[in-house]
Amino acid sequence: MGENDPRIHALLDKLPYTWDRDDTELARQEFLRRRPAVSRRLVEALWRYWEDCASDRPLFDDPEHNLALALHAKAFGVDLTGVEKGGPLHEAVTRIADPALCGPLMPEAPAWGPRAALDPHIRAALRCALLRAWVAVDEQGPVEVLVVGDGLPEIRQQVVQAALVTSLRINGLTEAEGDGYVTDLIGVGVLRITAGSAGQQPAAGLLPVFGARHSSVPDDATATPRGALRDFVALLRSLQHETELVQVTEVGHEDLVEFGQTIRSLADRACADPAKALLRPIADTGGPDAVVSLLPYLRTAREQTTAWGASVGIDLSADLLTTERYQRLELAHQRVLADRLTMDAMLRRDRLLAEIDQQQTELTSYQVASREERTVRWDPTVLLSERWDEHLGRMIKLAEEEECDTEVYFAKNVPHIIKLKHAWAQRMTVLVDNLQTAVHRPHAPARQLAAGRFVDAVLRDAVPDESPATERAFRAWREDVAAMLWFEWRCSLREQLIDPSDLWTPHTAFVTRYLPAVDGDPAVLFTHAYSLVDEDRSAVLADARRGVLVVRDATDHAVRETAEDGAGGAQPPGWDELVRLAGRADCEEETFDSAFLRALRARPRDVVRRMVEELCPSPPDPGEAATIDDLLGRAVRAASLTEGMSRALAAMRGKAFLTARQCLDDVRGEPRWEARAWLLRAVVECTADEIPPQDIPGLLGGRLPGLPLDADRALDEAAELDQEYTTRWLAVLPDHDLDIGVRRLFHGLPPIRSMCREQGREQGGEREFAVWLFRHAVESARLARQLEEAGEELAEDHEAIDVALAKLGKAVEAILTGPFVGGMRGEAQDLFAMLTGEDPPKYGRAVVR
Amino acid sequence: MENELYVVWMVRVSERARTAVGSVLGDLARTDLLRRLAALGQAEERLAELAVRIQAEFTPPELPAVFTENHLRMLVDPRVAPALAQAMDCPQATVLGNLLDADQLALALRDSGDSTGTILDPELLFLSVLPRLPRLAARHGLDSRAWGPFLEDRRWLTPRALDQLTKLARTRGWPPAARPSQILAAVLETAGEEVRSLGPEREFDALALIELRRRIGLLAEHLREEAMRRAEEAALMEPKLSSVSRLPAWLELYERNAVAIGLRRLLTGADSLSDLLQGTHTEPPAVTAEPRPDEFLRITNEIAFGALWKRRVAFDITCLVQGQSDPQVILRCRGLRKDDYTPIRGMIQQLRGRDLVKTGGTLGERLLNTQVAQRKGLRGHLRRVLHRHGPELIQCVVLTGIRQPVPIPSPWHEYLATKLPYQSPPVHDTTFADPTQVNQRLRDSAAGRRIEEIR
Repeated sequence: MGENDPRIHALLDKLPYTWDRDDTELARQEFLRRRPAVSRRLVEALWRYWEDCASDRPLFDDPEHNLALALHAKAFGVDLTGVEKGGPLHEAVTRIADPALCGPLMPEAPAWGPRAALDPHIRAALRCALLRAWVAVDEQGPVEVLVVGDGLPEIRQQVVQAALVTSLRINGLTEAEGDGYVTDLIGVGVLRITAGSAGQQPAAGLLPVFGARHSSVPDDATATPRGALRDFVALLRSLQHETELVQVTEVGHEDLVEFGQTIRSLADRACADPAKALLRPIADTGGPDAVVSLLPYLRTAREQTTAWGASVGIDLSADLLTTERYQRLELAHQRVLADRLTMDAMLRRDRLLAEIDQQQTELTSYQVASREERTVRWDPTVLLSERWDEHLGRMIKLAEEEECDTEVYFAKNVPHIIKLKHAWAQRMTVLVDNLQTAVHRPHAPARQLAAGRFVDAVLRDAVPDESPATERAFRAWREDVAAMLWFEWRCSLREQLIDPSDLWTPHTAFVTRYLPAVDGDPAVLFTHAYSLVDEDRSAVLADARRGVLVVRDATDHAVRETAEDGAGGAQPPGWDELVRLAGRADCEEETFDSAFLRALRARPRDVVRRMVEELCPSPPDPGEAATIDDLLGRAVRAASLTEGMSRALAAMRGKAFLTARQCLDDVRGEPRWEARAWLLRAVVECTADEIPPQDIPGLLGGRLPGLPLDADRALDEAAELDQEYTTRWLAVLPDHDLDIGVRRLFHGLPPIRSMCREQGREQGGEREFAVWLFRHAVESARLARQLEEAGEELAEDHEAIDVALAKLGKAVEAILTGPFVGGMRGEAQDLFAMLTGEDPPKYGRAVVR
Repeated sequence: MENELYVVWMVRVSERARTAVGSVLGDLARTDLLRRLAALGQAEERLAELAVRIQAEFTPPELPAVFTENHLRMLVDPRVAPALAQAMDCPQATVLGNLLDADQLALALRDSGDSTGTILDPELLFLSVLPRLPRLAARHGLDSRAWGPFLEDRRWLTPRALDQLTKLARTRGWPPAARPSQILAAVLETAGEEVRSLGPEREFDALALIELRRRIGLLAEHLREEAMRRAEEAALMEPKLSSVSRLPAWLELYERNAVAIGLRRLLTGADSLSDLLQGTHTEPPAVTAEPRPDEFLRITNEIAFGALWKRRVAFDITCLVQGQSDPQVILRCRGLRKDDYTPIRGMIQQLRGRDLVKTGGTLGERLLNTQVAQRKGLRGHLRRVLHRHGPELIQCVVLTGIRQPVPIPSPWHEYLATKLPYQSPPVHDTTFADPTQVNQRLRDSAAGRRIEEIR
């Protein structure tokens, strides 16, 4: 009998108050047979029947089943608060609050302070502040990655996000095989991702480590599962390098498999020979390459195994994922994951296509132009400020600009770049397809991963924190399902004669697999208990009488302490003794290290504080600030031409004309350069007077009537400073569009470094430039922080466009028109266009970038 | 001129901003307002004032922190009925029916000891509940400020009411995280006041916000990369100004939170290899590829020469780099004193590709700029410990709550972050059993069984 049983179908099609005695019996029997994987329809129908038609008596003779029905009803979102007091229903509902029946099973998580972190006997611990990753490799690279530890929130979020993305990429890329379930676990404090070792896959290039962690869609979107896993390992390694709060250990995949087999064989032997217990004690050889694995709790007794299988777990109804609260949770989760990722890849693809389009248009217009037209419309050379990086798939800013013959540029450079960008756009399209498959295919790996993550978190009483919205939604869902899950696990273990404390340990995690409906059997969630097992630091007992493999490590015997420093152990050396030791000429490195570590473990707060104080650098020289101010003043004067003109152009494009004028007023330089600033000022005045950009070249070039007075005056100033250039610029201006006119003004401006050299020639000029770079670096860092802080104020779901602009506008303004920025104005302008919804003017775009 | 771009675009885009600016410049149409802005006298101060007014307009008002018993009583006050009706988008006569769930009120009434249980009308039910609020509070241990969570948990508000209140909060620009009971309290408290609704503004939906955040992230990331690049360049050019030379490390530590790199670069107790080699190296070969991060540097072609009492050593340092299978010579040293050579040799052989600093054009230059522990004294020992036991020490720094490991003034202190961002450390700590105890306890738990030990 199954869900496809016509009798059950007929029963569930009826309204519960029309059930007769046989119907009721059938429903009860079906509930008992299916438990704990009872369907939502059956639970809701039975609950309604009990509440509406039989509330004066228990539905089942066994109170445990009545409680189970109440728990399942709550898990499916039935509101139990309205149950009438005093009756058997109320009694069942009241028992939900009984912690001995429905409370958490997991032991209290240990507080992770410095002493816990320094304990030499701890390595793989779910609560650990250090994220430890074991990367299992074969001859082709990483096969499986196991990351253990809570980590610090700031680092955990990056790693969890990347792990979810990696698993999605792998499962979206892999063709569904067999039942197509996802074996990865992205739990709280434990992540396991497998790329699969079968098949000869093409080797993919490794991602550069630096910068990789910042892009959720890596530029090099390697199209193999192994490549995706390599990207993830690259992120872990970069975090290790930068923070040392992540530690990566490489182990052989063969060793990992062999270790798993060793543990499995213990369970098999215990089953075969129930007369004795097998103990694999902790050897603690201290080997750095010891394997750590996430292994199932295997049964060590054979009786009644047909119902339970070789490992310990329970089936749950997949309907648990259909409740309103779970749907909300899934939505919140996907918003920070798959949706964002797909959007990222689409964004990059669209941007590439837009760039291709733009370059193709420019190329075509060059190709169709006659030789004369080319001479008039294009400069003889093109100033290359960027190059296309084939490996990264993005433009890289050149340190020094390069001149290139325009003909060569359009004959070779542009077609080549278009071809490369096409290839990249194609790769992004493939990635988008893969991601959409990962989220929308029938078994939807994204949904399986999410279900596994949340069921594990509920069972272990942990909270996933990938986003505040997910956290809130998770807490709401947990309120519904937690008691039912704990209760059903208790019942299952009791039936299998397993002591819960043998299974619910500080190193236990739960892996949930979604098994789709087959032959009329409904889809189920298959939740199994696993333990972290450390080859060197876990003891394993296989005893048929216990019914299950028992794993123990140091975290099973945790003693809570206050955070204060204590003596902690026998006579640890104090700080003074360390000082004395270091002062001795014969002090060996190993002796000092060992004494230091003992002191640190005993008094972590004191020792680490003293160490930091001892190594702290001295404050800067008192006169240094004045020196920097002086040098910076000279550098600012030297850079005023380039800086002022760039800022003025950016401000003009943003219709901030007062700012544009102010920037140009501050320009100081040789007359020939100042003349250019005045010519730009003339353009600013025309734009401020709302003259359309296409009319400005003609109006200015011919000094026609209608030219604003201020623009006319600016032209006079320019002519006074450099008559020849002004005349030449004005003469050709009407033949070009405004963009070319503006670009000509910037063409050949001296680099800031040489201007600084000029300004500070008595001291060589390099110091001014160094301080100018220093000030730029400070400002860029400040603006990055200011922008991120403003971004954090954005709402999660909806935000009125003007509210978003109000929140971000000032930060973007500072990047666009503020001093000491440069280089990022183009990107800031794109962001600003998105916020305002208005494309910036076409002229000057290339210069602003 | 600071604030101009901001004010101009806020006025162009937003009706609310126009209202705020209009209160200073006059109630004008958009184009006229923009013209007035373009011709402002004393522009700097006035733009700053306008920017403040715009930001104030967009700063959500503070909602009442709690929903009290008094708010519950206000629900039946006829003076608030119009405001409630407007909030619920229904006639005044049906406000309570739309707002409150009759079933839940009936339960509450029962909870408070009423046994009549025949009323079905939500308004009548609520009127019956009101005098019994103290009983209800006593029964559930509520103080006068705890009614908000209570009526939310007990689902007193109908789903429609929840939707309407959320919508109302959005249209009035109230904080998105406000709880329904807070919104209701705000409606009750502001009843009678003139309330300006924001109207159906154009919105970024969730996906657009994702894209927006992504762009913000990318731009911030590029700004930081730019900052690092320029800081490194400046430090190379002006090593004598400590503010300039320390900036890259400061940015690593406090802006990028690369705590390991930042601490190693900022803390003292180290010398550069260049100092230790005392000028005995030749011009570094032009090897510019990236070193393999996990591979150790090696020493080859070691030759000792000179008289016995002043023996000197020549050697090459090699490194495995990406894309090459053979080690590349990255530095050649000639004539280092034998006594000095031995400890330096050990230091070099402990360095991996990832330990090389980024400063320098070739790998040889990067190696010369790399800091290694001083050879003697407390600082040298501590420095070596920091290198060897980095994970333990950095965890200790973070878990003992040290958020400013380098407390000297920052290179440009008013602009840069000066603290690590990590959360407060736990109040408690834990110690664990050693392996012998773990083994023994497991063995004890199988007492009475024949135990076979497997290794």
